[in-house]
Amino acid sequence: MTTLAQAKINKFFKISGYQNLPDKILRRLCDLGLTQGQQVCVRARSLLKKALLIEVRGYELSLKSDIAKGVILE
Amino acid sequence: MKKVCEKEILKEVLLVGNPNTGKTTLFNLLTGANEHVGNWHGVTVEEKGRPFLCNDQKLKLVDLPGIYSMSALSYEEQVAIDYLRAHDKSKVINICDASNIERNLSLTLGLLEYGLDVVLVINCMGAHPLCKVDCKKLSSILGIPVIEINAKTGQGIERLKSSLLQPHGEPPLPKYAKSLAKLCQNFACQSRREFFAIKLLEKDEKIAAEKNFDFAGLPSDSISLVAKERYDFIASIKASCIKSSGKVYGKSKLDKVFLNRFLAFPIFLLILCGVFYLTFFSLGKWLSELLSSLVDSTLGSFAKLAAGSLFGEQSWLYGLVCDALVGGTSTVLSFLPQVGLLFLFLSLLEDSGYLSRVAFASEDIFGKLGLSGKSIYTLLMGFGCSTTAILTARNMDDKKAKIKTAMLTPYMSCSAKFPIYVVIGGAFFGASNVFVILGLYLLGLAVALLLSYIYEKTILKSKEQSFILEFPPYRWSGIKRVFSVLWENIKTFLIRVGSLLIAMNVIVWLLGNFSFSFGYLPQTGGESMLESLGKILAPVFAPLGFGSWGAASALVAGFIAKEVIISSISMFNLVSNSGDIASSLSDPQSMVFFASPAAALSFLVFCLLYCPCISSTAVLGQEIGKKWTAFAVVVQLCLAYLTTLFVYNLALAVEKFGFWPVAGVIAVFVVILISIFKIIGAIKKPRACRGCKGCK
Repeated sequence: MTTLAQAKINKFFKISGYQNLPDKILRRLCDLGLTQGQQVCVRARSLLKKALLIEVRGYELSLKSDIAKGVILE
Repeated sequence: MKKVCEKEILKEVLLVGNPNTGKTTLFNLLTGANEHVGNWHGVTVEEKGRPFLCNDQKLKLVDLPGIYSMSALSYEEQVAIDYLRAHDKSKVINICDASNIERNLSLTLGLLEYGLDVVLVINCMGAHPLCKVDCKKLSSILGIPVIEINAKTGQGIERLKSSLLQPHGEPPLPKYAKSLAKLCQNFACQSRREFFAIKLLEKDEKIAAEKNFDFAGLPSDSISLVAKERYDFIASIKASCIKSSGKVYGKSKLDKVFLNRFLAFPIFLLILCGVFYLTFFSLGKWLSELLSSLVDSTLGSFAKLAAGSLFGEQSWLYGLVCDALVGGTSTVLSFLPQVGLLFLFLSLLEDSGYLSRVAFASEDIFGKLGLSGKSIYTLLMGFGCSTTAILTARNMDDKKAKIKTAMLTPYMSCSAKFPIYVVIGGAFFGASNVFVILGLYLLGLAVALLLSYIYEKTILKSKEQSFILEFPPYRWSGIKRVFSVLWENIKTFLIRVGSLLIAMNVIVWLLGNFSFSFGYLPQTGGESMLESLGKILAPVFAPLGFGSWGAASALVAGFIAKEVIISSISMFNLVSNSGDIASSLSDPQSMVFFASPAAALSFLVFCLLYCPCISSTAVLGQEIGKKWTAFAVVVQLCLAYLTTLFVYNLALAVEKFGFWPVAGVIAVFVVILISIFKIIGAIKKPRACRGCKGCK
């Protein structure tokens, strides 16, 4: 099982589920379009890998890695 | 434009949309206002209303902070949602960025679920929007008016205005809403049942508390279920009426460099150094000197001539006009180009979209300090003006992180403190003042970061910061925008100098030139009111090296506005010694203020760290509450005193023993301290068992 936090750079993956995310964070991710079955791709990581930049639904979004750990990929 | 009366109660039109879609740009266009816009999410942090003429009818347009849905994560979002719910009968303009339409429509659906009277506006700001929307088809699918506009050029505005005046009736619910709401079975509600049921499925804690609802019976994946329904509906809309170019919003080749793991931070520091160099040392300095000589040769000599012939040179009115009105004010006035340039550069940075990239790169550091990468925006704006910067701390989604960010902002050297460094530093350190100023800026930053770390470990431990930030595309500010920013800031500065500063200068001058028996000192001699009052406070500052009454009273006056510090110092030095303030300050004959460069340096450090001006403190009180503001002020004063004491004694030691011996002693101390901490850490840590892979 890989999570968004460990995903390979520049490769698209499908979201299969979520784990250990507080409700309000999960709700925000869903509002932003990271819904189940959606294709996402990691575009960049910061120096200490605390933040990552992803591409989803035709736009770019940066996320904290701790949150990305809660997004499970297929 | 016809004048619109503000006092009438007008029908409200609310402006809603995702962050950074051009709400404020449209607001400015419709109302003729000049509200702050920027290429960053969360520039608008509170609702702002202004009347405007919609064809011939007066309406009030209310600009709300950006939201992603009807559930808030940060403070400014809660402001917007509360306002929307309190004014649910008003017409709503929902502005969508054509280039990022998919996510924008998700909010539109949220608004329709609530049953708001929405006019959907598709904003095509760029020359080539990434998506082409068939407005007619979209309008028939959603059952609401859809209008394409360009908020920058004003294209399509007339159609929007006429649509605002038409009654549209109850907007239809999105087609999935009814079946979705059924999933929330044991919930009854008189009005807007579908909306509340969907919000409960989304596990919105605020709505649940409001409706006394328990999430226990809901499906475990109900949050993602709702989102999937919405986005599936959007996908069907997309297939029928949106043509996408396939390009990604916000993506740029520049990011290969700016987001490079190793280059991102150095590039940011380089850009920052460039901005400060241009503002303070090359272009800005040259312009400032030009203005200074211009003011002195025209206004200064004219005032002397006029006041001399009107009142005679012995009259106190002559002194008031020449020293307080012209002398003190012109010193500050000459910094106009530099302040203007600084604000211009900050605004260029904000417009460019680069700040989101900086926030991304600095998340590594700020995350550790219990802040979020987003704090960098507030802190950076703090270099301009703390008062406006503190407001932007509302971007934070954790209350403690917001308090922390707001409390740290005043440690960033604001543009009003810079003249103090230039004038006093210039007098004592000459060419090497560059390093003094750089050191002061870095000291402010270091103190802020250190304090943040201490707060995080002690009283203000913040919860996990979410840090979810979208990346806007890179944009150039147009030439029109550059001029408008410059003009706005020059106007603000001139008004400030013309009102507050002149008033303060007159007060300080009168106090400084009259005794308690109201005798004019140059004629009667004796002690001025300011001197008597300042002498009470002066001993407090004696250990810091600037125990003179002048310095003490300048610091007190500086609480009203930081510019007063430099204008009052220049006024009193000019009383006895006409000529250039810089040379008179360091003239040993008239060292009223500082006995040595060490004393001057410690004064600068104190100015950097002690309480910000009264307006910043007031905003701080409004944003984080009286208790925390009082705490912040006490910390500022104590910290300023102790740091200054340290710096002063260090400077004295350097003066006495030379630089290298002192640096050596400090290095030894640092090494000892670090090893003590390491040893304590090693003792505290439980020893690992042999072959241990960590306890479970």
